[in-house]
Amino acid sequence: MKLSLEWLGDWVDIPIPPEELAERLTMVGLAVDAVIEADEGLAGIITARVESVSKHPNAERLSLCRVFDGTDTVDVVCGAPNVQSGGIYPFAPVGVTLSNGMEISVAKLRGEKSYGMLCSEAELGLSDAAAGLMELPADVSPGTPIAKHLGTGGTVLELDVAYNRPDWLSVRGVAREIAAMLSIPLKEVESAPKEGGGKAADGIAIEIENLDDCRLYGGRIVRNVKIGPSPDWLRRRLESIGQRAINNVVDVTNYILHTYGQPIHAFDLAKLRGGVIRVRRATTGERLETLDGTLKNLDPDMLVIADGEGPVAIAGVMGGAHSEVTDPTTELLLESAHFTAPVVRDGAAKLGMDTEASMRFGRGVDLAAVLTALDHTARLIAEVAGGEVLTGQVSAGSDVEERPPVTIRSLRVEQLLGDVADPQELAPVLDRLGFKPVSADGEGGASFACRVPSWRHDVEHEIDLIEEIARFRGYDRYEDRHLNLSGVRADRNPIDARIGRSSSLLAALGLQEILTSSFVSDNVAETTQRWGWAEGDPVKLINARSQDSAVLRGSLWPLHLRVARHNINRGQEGFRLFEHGKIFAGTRAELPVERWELAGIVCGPLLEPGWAGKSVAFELFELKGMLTSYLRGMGRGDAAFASYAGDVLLPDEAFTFEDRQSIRGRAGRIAPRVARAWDIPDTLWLFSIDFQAFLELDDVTPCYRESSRFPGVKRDLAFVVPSHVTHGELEEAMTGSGRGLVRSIRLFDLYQGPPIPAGHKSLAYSLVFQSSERSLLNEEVDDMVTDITSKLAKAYGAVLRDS
Amino acid sequence: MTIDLESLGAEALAAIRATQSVEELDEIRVRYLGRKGGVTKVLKELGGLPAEKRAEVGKVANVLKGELTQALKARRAELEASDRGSGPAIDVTLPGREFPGGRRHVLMRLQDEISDIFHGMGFSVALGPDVESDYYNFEALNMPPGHPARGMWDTFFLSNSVVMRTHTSPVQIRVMENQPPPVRMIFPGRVYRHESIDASHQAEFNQVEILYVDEGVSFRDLKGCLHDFVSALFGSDVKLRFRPSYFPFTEPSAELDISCIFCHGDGCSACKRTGWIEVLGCGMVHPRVFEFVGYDSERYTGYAAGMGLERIAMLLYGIPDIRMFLENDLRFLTQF
Repeated sequence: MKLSLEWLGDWVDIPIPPEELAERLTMVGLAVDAVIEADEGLAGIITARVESVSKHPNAERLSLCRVFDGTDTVDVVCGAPNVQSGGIYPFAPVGVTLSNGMEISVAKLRGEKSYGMLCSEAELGLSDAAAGLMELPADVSPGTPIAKHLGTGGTVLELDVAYNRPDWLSVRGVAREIAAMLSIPLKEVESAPKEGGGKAADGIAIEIENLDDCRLYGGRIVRNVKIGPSPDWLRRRLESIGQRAINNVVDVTNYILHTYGQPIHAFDLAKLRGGVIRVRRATTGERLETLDGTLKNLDPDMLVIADGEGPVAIAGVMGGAHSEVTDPTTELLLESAHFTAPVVRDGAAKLGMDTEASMRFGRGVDLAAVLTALDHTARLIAEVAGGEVLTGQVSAGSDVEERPPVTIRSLRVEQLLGDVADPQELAPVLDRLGFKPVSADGEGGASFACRVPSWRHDVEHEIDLIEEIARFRGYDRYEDRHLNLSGVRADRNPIDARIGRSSSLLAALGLQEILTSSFVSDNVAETTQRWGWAEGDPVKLINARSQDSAVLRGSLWPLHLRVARHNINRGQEGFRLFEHGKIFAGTRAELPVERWELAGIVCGPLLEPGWAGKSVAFELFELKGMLTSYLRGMGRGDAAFASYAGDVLLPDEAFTFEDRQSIRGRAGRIAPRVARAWDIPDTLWLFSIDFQAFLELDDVTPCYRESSRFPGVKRDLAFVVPSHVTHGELEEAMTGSGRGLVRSIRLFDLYQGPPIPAGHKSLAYSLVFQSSERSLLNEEVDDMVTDITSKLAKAYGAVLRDS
Repeated sequence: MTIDLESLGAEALAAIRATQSVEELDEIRVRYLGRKGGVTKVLKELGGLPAEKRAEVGKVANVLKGELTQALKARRAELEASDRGSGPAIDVTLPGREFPGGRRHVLMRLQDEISDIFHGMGFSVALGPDVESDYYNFEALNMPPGHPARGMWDTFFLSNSVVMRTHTSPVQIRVMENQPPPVRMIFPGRVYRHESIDASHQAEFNQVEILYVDEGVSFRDLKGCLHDFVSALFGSDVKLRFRPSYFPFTEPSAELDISCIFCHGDGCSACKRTGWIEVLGCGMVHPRVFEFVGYDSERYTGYAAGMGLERIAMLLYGIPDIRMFLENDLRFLTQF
């Protein structure tokens, strides 16, 4: 929110420079994001009249303008849709620097030269309005410095107001904080209008259906006004905070809104029917065309202002078009009310509307300011638009609010802030902020009660007062105290620790960690489902940002394929990636199931070719070896591998695995069909492991086993077996024989082809026999080899090859 | 003649010192002490000298022979003690054969670093679901339905009552529901905001929140703890500024600014010329939150804080665009 110091000056005389004010406000919680010298961005900019507009020959959205700057007429190319022949606009001639740092020089736009720039409000740094040129009144003469028309000659503060402090959304509210902060008085501002010409109550009656929706509704009638432009002082004040001046009546209502934080609505009284205002819930089927020209369907969740025949405004949100103040209007009904926050918030949300008024009512307005703001509005309108303010306010409801005092205990202050709290010091601090101490208890007033001012809806409990004390005395006052470690043990989180260990191991195996989005597109979710990558129902957002991120991921692979494509397209030829990430599946329970998955992707060789050696390919058994090393590193050396029968991987070059504790995974080469769908090479290798199962296991505490002191005896054996016999079968048979003394089995050769008979293969093993109790005799080992050979011969038709 | 012997000796000793192999050394021995070697020749020619000279030169030549023999022996021992071959020296500038290296993602690396700092201060780690009920994400954090402060978090919804968590604070609630005080924990994890994405905003990012609840925990303890943390992460010369702020679940609340790590407070574009950079939000846990989890809010007090990992990583490592973290470009990832 913007706020000018000149405007603040109505309420408080600030004795310190703007920078110091900004710093001190920030340190009491009213963050000042910027101190803007309002006219700084206007230097060199003048008013200019557009004499003629023609279409740019080479660009549809640009126009060629002849612009009169008071002395010369120059050519200017303009992209704004609202440029019109005869219009007066701010003009930045060549050589001027705009507030956004843009320097104006002679430019060539699509072949046409442009000598300067016609400006929008955004380009002048006045507001965010960038859609079109800033339109100036027709009576402004070309060639005058724009600061003369717009300048406030002062400083503007850009404030970042916290959600709980709607009272700071107004000049008066900020002035109040400054007065308290600097211990200076708040000035009296006259608000009462001069009245006459009859009683307002004769012109209108007000009824409130439910005081829970509207605590107070005040109206005033002003007769014989003349709608027209506002005087300069009013326009400048509004423009200084980025508000566009419209006409004198609307400008006054805006001015009061920003002065008091109280939204005001002006009705054209002549268009109200039946001499009555009713504040009530809308009924189903009622409709209203609002000021923005749209037709709104109303329902009982919305509060409306109705006249004798039907709704004329959506309470606290927007007025109706029918009773809008227009140029011929002469009689006004001014509305200042306290609509309660929930009904305004809900109604605005349901209508998808977010206005200055709804924002303020939604956070809460000051009940005690409602009628003051009403009076001040009437007074100002009479001043700037002529007319006569009829005698009296017409109101329903009450501006009296019963709020219980809040008690604060000095011991509680000490407990929370860690600092000695003397009640004699606390009470004056709160008093300055408007919390009047009303009673004290205990020794030395160790606890006392305060009345909460009407503008502080955020204060209900003791803790709220303690915060006031802390922020107002300054957080710097409370000295650091350093942690005392007693009492709580800092445990390792088992999930966090296991993911950390797994990640370190994978990184050591040469894999780079990645992190991918939790969201995928509808399409990907559908594919993931159809191809069986994911289990359970897809989990969809009801308010996705885009179709590309509408569903929670059911598998990491689709995202990893995207990462692979990104890097391949940028010239990366070899990489190995991994991620531990959550995947999501819908269930009938309220929350979806979240499981940790570990997945990754490998592209390119195990070792790059180089001067010192050839390339070492990364293929199925490198993949299996990598995963075996990983599983062993994680203390899971007993996984059983089986062939893969899914759609995502190439069945001939893929496998699944599972260990005794149900750690499951799958890995292999990407199926060409999938590779095509993702537009990536089909030479990528994928793996995934259900990491959740890992996380659910207890940690295995390693247990010492004595290494044998006796030498092992090594024997190399080659067997010829029919092709269908697997290594796994042979290995299992060998492990189970030899009296349990087979210490290790290593396959060192696999061969098919002559002289091995067709339909057979040769597997060569290096076996080590070892006892932990004694040295083995050669004869014993020979016996064991014979046992193994005959066992394999019987079970698998294995023949020992030429030994 | 004596002069000849002296220069001969110096030359021989220098040659011995310069040898790089046993073979070279043998050659030198032959050149000076061999049958036709320089020193031997002098000794052989002694007979032709006058008697008084003979004794003198003979003595010098014999001393030199002894010296050289000793030097040869010593150098041989040296050469034999090293394994250096006699071939030409290896070109060690040739590239090594690299194993592909792997690293943690920059954010996880930072998360571990932050966890370690807090672990050293006695904090444990707690994790929780990414998808949360409205109750845990808002209501139990002192934001009943319709609370205006809910507007501070742009939220992704899965249904009216189920959301993508907008912070890791719901994990704080879950932990406190399940264990009595004292609690001293940190809460890392991914969070979600329905934001337009640009260089400084991402719809998914990571947070680390902290919580300490016990008897006697005050605002001063919050300041001390965060001061220690900031010193550990950013360096002990960084200054801190606690600025009043508002969060529904803490009171009093603060934003923590640190003195700009780029300009050291002089004012630059990173700190928008203020000299300060906002790093985290914090405050004393609101008594209402304790009531939701069944803690005695009169007996226990506590502090909480929360920070965005990406933001801190961008500050620490000078990363200009938040979108890089999820893009996974290897040229980026392998820098950290």
